[in-house]
Formats: sequence, structure tokens, C-alpha cells
Amino acid sequence: MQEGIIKLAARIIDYINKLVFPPKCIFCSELLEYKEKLEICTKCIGKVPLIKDNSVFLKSFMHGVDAEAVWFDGIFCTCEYKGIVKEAIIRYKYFGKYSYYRAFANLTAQRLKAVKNMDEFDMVISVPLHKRKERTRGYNQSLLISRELGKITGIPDKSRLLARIRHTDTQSLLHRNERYINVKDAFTVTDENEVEGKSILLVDDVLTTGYTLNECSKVLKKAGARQVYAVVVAAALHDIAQL
Amino acid sequence: MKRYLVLFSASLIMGIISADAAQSCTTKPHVYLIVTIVSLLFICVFISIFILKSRQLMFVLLGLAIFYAAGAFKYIHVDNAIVRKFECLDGAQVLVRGRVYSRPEFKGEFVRYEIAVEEIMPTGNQDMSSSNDRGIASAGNRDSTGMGIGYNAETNDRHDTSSSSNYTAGSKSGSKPGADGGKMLLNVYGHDLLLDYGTRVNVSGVLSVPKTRRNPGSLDYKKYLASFGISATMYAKRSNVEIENPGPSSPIAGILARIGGKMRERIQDAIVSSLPENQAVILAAMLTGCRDNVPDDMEENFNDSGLIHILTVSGMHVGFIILPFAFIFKKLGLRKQVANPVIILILFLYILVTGPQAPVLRAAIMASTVLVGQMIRREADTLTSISLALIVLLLWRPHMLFNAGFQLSFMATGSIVLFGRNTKNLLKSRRIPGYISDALATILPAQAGILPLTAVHFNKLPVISVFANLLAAPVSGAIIILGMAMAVLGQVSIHLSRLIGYVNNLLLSYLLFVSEATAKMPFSVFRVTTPSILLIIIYYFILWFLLWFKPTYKVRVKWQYHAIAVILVISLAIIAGMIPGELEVVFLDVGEGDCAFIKTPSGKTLLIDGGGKKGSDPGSADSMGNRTIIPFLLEYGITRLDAVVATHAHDDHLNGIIPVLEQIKVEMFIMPGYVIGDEFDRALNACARRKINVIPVREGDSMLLGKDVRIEILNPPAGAKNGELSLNNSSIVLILKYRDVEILFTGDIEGEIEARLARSILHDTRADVLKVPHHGSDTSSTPVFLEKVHPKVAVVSVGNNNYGHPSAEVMDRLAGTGTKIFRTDLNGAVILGSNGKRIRIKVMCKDRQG
Repeated sequence: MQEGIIKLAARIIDYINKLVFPPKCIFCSELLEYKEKLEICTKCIGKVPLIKDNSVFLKSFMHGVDAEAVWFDGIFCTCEYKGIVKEAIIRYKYFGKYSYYRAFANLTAQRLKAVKNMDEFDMVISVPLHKRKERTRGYNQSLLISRELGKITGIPDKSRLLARIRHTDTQSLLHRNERYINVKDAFTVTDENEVEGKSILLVDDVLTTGYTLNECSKVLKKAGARQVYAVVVAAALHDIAQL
Repeated sequence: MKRYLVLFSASLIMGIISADAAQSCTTKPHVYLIVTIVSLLFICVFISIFILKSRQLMFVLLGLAIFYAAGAFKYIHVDNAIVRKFECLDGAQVLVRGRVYSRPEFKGEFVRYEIAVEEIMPTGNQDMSSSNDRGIASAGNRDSTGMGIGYNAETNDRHDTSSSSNYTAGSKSGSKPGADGGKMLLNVYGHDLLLDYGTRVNVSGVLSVPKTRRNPGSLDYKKYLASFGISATMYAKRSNVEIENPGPSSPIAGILARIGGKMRERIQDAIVSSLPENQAVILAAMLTGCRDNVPDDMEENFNDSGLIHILTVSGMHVGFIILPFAFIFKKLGLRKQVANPVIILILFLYILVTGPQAPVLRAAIMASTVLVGQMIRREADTLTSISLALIVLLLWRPHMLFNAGFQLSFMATGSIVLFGRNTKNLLKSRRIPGYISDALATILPAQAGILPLTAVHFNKLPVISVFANLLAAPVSGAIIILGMAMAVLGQVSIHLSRLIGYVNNLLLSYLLFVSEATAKMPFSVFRVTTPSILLIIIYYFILWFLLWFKPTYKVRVKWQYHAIAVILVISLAIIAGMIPGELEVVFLDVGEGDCAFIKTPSGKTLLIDGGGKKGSDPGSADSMGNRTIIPFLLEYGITRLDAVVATHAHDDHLNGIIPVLEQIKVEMFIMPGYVIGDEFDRALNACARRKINVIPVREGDSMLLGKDVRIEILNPPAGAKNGELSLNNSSIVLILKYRDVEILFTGDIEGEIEARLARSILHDTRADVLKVPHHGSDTSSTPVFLEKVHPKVAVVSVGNNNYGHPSAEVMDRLAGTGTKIFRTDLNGAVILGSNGKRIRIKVMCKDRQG
């Protein structure tokens, strides 16, 4: 009974939200029906470059690095980092379109659920952003997605367990070799007890070389995590193909 | 269309409009409303459940019905309940207890305050004193002699009977004493009483409910004040205002508003002491929205050049308030969830500085939507935010819908949002420099959007406005930023403020120059007649089609179709113009004075007298001619008069004619052929200047006004010698004949002339309608005259006066012969329509029928 009331209240609040802030497609700004969960219009969903086979990333990544240097157990990419997705992610990260996180999280969750049993994860953790960066941007793009992803899948978000201790330069501006050094020892686990023996879903927005995710996985694994599975919204296949 | 809030706001507007219509059409708007709302709801539910079978649509239709009902209900029930409470006490001597709810506003010799009324007690009438044996009553009675400022003498006697009986009825039912809630406009004589916001005062004086629209085209003062939430006015002397001291602790809003008031004073001080006078006044207006100190001619310049919005606090200001704070908070590393509520608070503090005017409220609500969106990580949609602002403001104060400032603000913003981008794209393909096309992309749609509104409200089309705005746009933003810097730094050191003032002075001088130069340019402003609703709808439809529908959906239309559309509209207009009209005679309410307007079936127009206050300057902006007569003519679509008749040279007849002669195209000026001295000089000068034919007339003259309409002059007598007649008796008396209908206009003639007319065998003075001579004075309307004329309808053109017009005896005499009496003081304008056989009569104010 009480639950029903809470649910109803949540729905009403959601409706009011949508009334005042009408949902729009993140790719073409077309207004959407209220029941549309994805915030992507039917025309654009067809244009999203979804990735069918995810094993390619792990393989190509391992191809460049020693086998024992790979710390995550798997990696999942929702779509390719190109076309409308690339444009949207640039708007999302650099042009203040923070509201896109819902669409990205929903899309990722939808795809991820199809291939993975979500019950096997104990927590969602996002790749942390340095305080200074978050301040200038106003938000942490990965954290927004991981929180929403956690909400959708029912897995608690424990992003605070992972912290960035060193300010790093923006990865995308660096050369491949520099990137590895750039993120080295940049992260730390704040509470090892909570990570110990847990299965973790690690979330980031874009995958290019995988060094950031690998570095995060490393500290998590070293803190005793049983399993770290990485998930990103978009992967730059072009970069990976070059490896 | 998934912007449901836009639909809902439209529905809300419809609700308010229909409520307003219901109120003016029926005496029981409640019944009407409940019936419509229930049936609407029923229809909505029925359609959605049984026909469309869509739950979402059901919710949307339900939402539409709810907003419609909410608007109508708030308009009729809640707001008018307050108004009715005041109406019971209209014209009564009362003691009002309440709080000052505004900043002092200087109007002429008065200081003006809004008072939030808490308690109101009638005190003046003896028969009422029994009903209020409370302590306060005696305090009020002390001042009952002090009401002698004289403004309200007339309202007093007019409403005495009704108000006293109403009040006692109210108190019997055991309700609260008099009206509570609502606001009153208090005018205190002299400039020496300055009250802080929130101060509790006791004022005694005569309460007066503002008048509704008295004439077509004139301001509906009641509605105008209602759009500010004010339902009554009062004039009081300084000694009648008693400050309750020490005032009980005022609510938080009061404290905040007091802070706002203090801030405004400090801003003004800083600016006044660092700029030359004219520039300072303009900058203070731009920053605080307080226009009291702006000289009239300067404001007129800004109006005529279409730059008045620069003096209005609106979106740009709100933006400039938000940006620095948002920047600082971001640098401080505050999260949006913490920073934005603070910014919203600051925004509303700023509103306390400027006062709750529609444009700044709209901008603040729209900005708040964006800020809240940032907090909950959702993106605001501009069109939806505008609708939200519309809904919030109209639910708060539905009467705002009829306020010109409100309409202009929303229309301009809405047009920019809807048409801005498409206009920009259209301009891009032309070879216009980027910065100009950018500026034009906001100026053009805004000006296009408000065009019909300026025509309706001000009868003006500022054609220069696009050009003026193009010149002023680059500096107005800079002026405000520098001005804000001056206001802030001026608190630290006046020297810093002066330093910036040197730069800002240049910009402000430029702005002043632009406004003056463009306003004074020939053909900068066109005077236009009030467009009809149909024309406005067609205009907006075309605007919407060309600037929104066509570019958005990339519709290609062959030029032939455009041509057909244009021809269709023009031929429609021509057909509408060719439909033969009927005779229309309007007796305007010009207070104590005469004014009648005649339009014949063939479109000939005639103005007989123009009213006017005794001894007033006919040329002033507030004069009868400029305030009432010319707006009336423009409302009726008249830009040219075939004849203007001055029956005689008294101020209350001639005064209002002068501006008409000076400003409207007039073919001939008809005056009595019997002149005593130089009384017509000013009118004759105007005629000479404007090359108007002057035609002195006497008994026996006549004139044809198109087909079927004939005017015959019956007075002044053909053989009258110098010194024989008084000014009143030299009045032109004329009879208008259209087929079987005769209307007799009598000016101010008195008994002797009436006797002469009654005896006359030359003329048939029998008439269906009589303009009662001399405002119903007992010197006229002699029984012998009335018997001869034997009117079915008598119109008394009368207002507030000290002569005892209209005389009760005359009224009885008229009523005794079965004549139906209309009085402009009770009915407002009296409008007659006739097809030559029957006469239909409409009055402007139904509720005041005698």
C-alpha cells in the first residue's frame, strides 16, 4: 500500500518533470512521447552505430600489452564512437549538455542486460574525475551515467570508493604512449574493505586505448576485487584498429 | 506537439477570456462557468474513453479542462469576491487598516502607495455608527470632516444609498468587518509622507472603486488596476494617514522588500551622484525599473522610437544578474544543487528592487526553470518555460492578461523564440553583415510580434523602431553592465562609480540621442486606428505561416498561391467595407460636458462637441481630447471627420475639440453664426493652421450627409442681434433626420430658446431621441419644450459637477412622459444604432444603470 503511494508519487513527479522539461531526442532534439524511456527518437535509434561483437576490444587491447598487465575481466561497449554518437558525446562532455546522461545510461543498460546477467555485480563504480576538472565542467560525466545505470539495474553505485589522486592531462589530447604514463598511478581505492571480494561494474563514457579503465581495474583488483567488468558508452574502433 | 504546457497555457488564457466575456455578458457568470466547465470535463472524458481510447490523450484533455477551469475560477470567483467586497463600500467614508505594499510613487502632487488591506470599517455615515462600536471607529470619525479634498464628493452622493444598505446586510451575516484581503491604491496629498514597505497604517477617507471602461477606446481603469491586484482607490490628506507605531513585526516578505527598497535607494543615490541628470535618470530607470523620475517628453521619445523596452527591467537584466554569480559559484566549486537556489534567491531579491512587473517576473521564472533544470539535470525548453511563466503569473493574477506590459513582454519573447532562428536563416541568404543580421534576428521578430499590440493599446505604429533598435542594441547591454558595476562600486567609493560613469555617460548620451533623433524623425510613428480582432488573427496567422510553419517544414509555396492569398484577403476587406452600415450615434461619457459622434450609413462622420474640463489646457496629454475623444475615434477606425460641430464655446463643449482639430483630418468646422467675443479664437487658429473650412451656421441652414441623412440647424436664431443672447443660448441646436428617425441635439440652450423652438412653426422639433439640454439643468427642459419634442429616449450627458446637474425635477418630468432616460454618468457612453426605423441602444457600463 505504502509502496504503491510512493510509486504513484514518483510517477506524478516524473510527469511534472516531463511537463516542465519536455524530453527531447539527444541526437536531433525532436520532442518525444512521454512514455519513451530512452530519450532517443525512433529515427535516430536506427542511426546509432551499435556494436554487435564486444570481444574485439579485449583481444586488441591484450594484443598491445602483456597478458598479465590486463586487469579487467571483460569489457563491454555499447556503440561506436563516431557519427551522431560522437557528436552527442562531445556535446555531453564539453558543451554542458549534462541531461544526456539518462539516454546514455538507458541505452547502455538495455544493451548490457542482453548479454550479461546483472545479478552477478555487487556495485557500479565510475572512473573518477579530478576535482579541478569536475569543477570547471560542472559535473562528472561518467558518474552521472554510472548512477543512472545503477538506478536502472538496481545495483548500488559506489563511485566514492575510487578516487583520482593525481591531476592528469586530458587523455584525448595525448599520444598513445603518453597516455599510458599519464594515467599511471593516478587512482586509488578509498576503502579497501568494501571492495574486497566484490564483483564490480566499472563505467566510463568513451574508450580509446583502455589505459584509464585498465589502471582503475588495477587498483580495484589490487584492493581485492573479485571481478572487474568495464562498460563504456562508446568505443573509438578506429583507434583500436590502429593497434 | 508534445509541449503540453504550451497547450495548457493556451487553455488557461481561454479560460480567463471566457470568464471575462461571461462576466460582461451575464449577471450570473458563476452559473455559466460551472455549466461550461462541467460539460467540458464531461466531453473530454467521453471523447478520450469512448472515441480515442487513449489514456495519454485523456490526461492531456483533462489537463486542458483543468487549466481552463482554474483560469476561469480564479478570475471570476477568487478575484471578484475581493472586488465585490470593496464594491459594497464604494463611495463610503471608511477607515482602512493595512500595510504599505509598494515603494512610494510620485504622481503629480501626490505620493502613491499600494496598501494591502487587512481591515476596513465604514465610518462616515451616521446610520452606520451603530454597527461598528469598535474602538477604531471613533478614531475614524475624528477625521470624517477631513474628507474635504473634494475628489470624492460625487461618488459619495451617488452610491450612498446602495453602499449603506449593502454594508448592513453584510454585517448582519456576522462575517468579518468589511472587506479584507485585496489591495487599495492610496494617494496621499503632498510629497512629505514617505512610508517604508510593510509599515502598518490606518487611513481614513472615501473609498472608491475604479471605473470600468466608460467609452469605446478609453482605458478600462478597473481592469488596469486589477492587473496589479488593486481593487479600490482612496485620496487622503497627510493628516488622515496614521502610522501604527511601533508596528508589529512584519512578515519575512516585508523585511526582504524593505531591504529591496533600501537597495534601490542606494543604487539610485550612487547613480545620481556620478552622472549628469538626464543620463542618471535613464540609467536608474534601466536598473531599477522605476520610471517616476523620467521626464514625460523623454519617455515619449523612447515610446515613439520603440525603445521603451530598454527602460523596462526584463530578460537582459536577469541574465546579467545571474551570469556573474553563476561564474563566482562555479569558481568556488559549489555544486549546482547548492549554488542555483542561492542564485534564484538573489533573482527574487532583485525583483524586490524593481517591483513585481510582468517582464521581470516572466524573465525570472524562465531563468529559474533553467536553473532548476540544472539542479535536476534536465534541459529547459524555452517555449515551455515561457508557458510556465505565463501559467504561474496568470494563476497568481489572471487580470494581468489584459495588461499591455504583460502582453508586450510575452509576445516579444515568444516571437523571438518562435521566429528568431528562421528569421536568421532568411537573413543569412541576403548579403547583410553578420552582426547586423544577428541583431535583426531578434529585433525583427520581436517588433513583428508586438505590432498589433501597439496598434491596439496605443494606436501607434512605431515604424522607426527596427532602425532605432538596431542603433541602440549594441549599447544597451553595455550600459546595464557598466551601470550595475557603478551601483555596486558606488557603495564602496563614489569615485570608482564616477570613473565608470565617464564611460557610461558617453553610451547613455548616445542612447538618449538615438531615442530623440529617431522619435523626431518625420514619419517615425504612424497613428493607426484600432485593428479588428479578425485582422489581428489574420496577421498572426500570416506571421506564423511565413516565419515558422513554412521554414520549419520546408514547405514550398508557388508564388501564385501567395498572390491568391493576398487577393483573397484584400477582396475580403473590400467586401467587408462595402456592407452598408447603419446610422450610429455615440454619446460619449466626457464627465460634465457634451460629446456626441455620428456615423451615417454611407460612412460620413460628424463630431458634435468634445467635452473638456473647465479651465484645463486642451493640449495636455491628459486632456479630454487626447485621453478620450481621439482614442475613441481611432477605436472606431476614424482618421478623418467630415465635420466637427462646436455648439458653443464653453470649455465643457469646446475644449476636447481642439486636439481633434489639431491632430485629425477634419473637412469642416461648424460653429454658431452668433459669436459674442473671442471665445472661439483657439479653435479658429487651429482651423486656419490646418486649413479647415469654418462654417458659421444659423437657424434655417441645413446639410446633407450622404444619402438619406439630413441635418437642420434650429438655433442660433437667424435674426439675433449682438448682446441679445447668452453664450448658452447661442448654442447650435440641430436635428438629425435619417428616414423615420430624428435625433435632436440641443447644446446648452435654456428655457427662452426652448420656448422659441416649441412655438416655432418653421421647424418640426418632434424627435425620437433628445440630447437633454444643458446636462439636465433645471433652467432647461421646460414642460412646453418636452411636450413639443416628445422624445422616446432622452440622453443626459452629465458628470461630476457642483451645479446639481441633472436636476431631479427634470428627470421626473422626463420619466413622467414615459421617456426612457440614459445618463452618461451612470451608463458610460450611450451607443445608438438605427436602420432608419428602429433604434437600438447599447450602454458601456451595465452595472451602473440608474
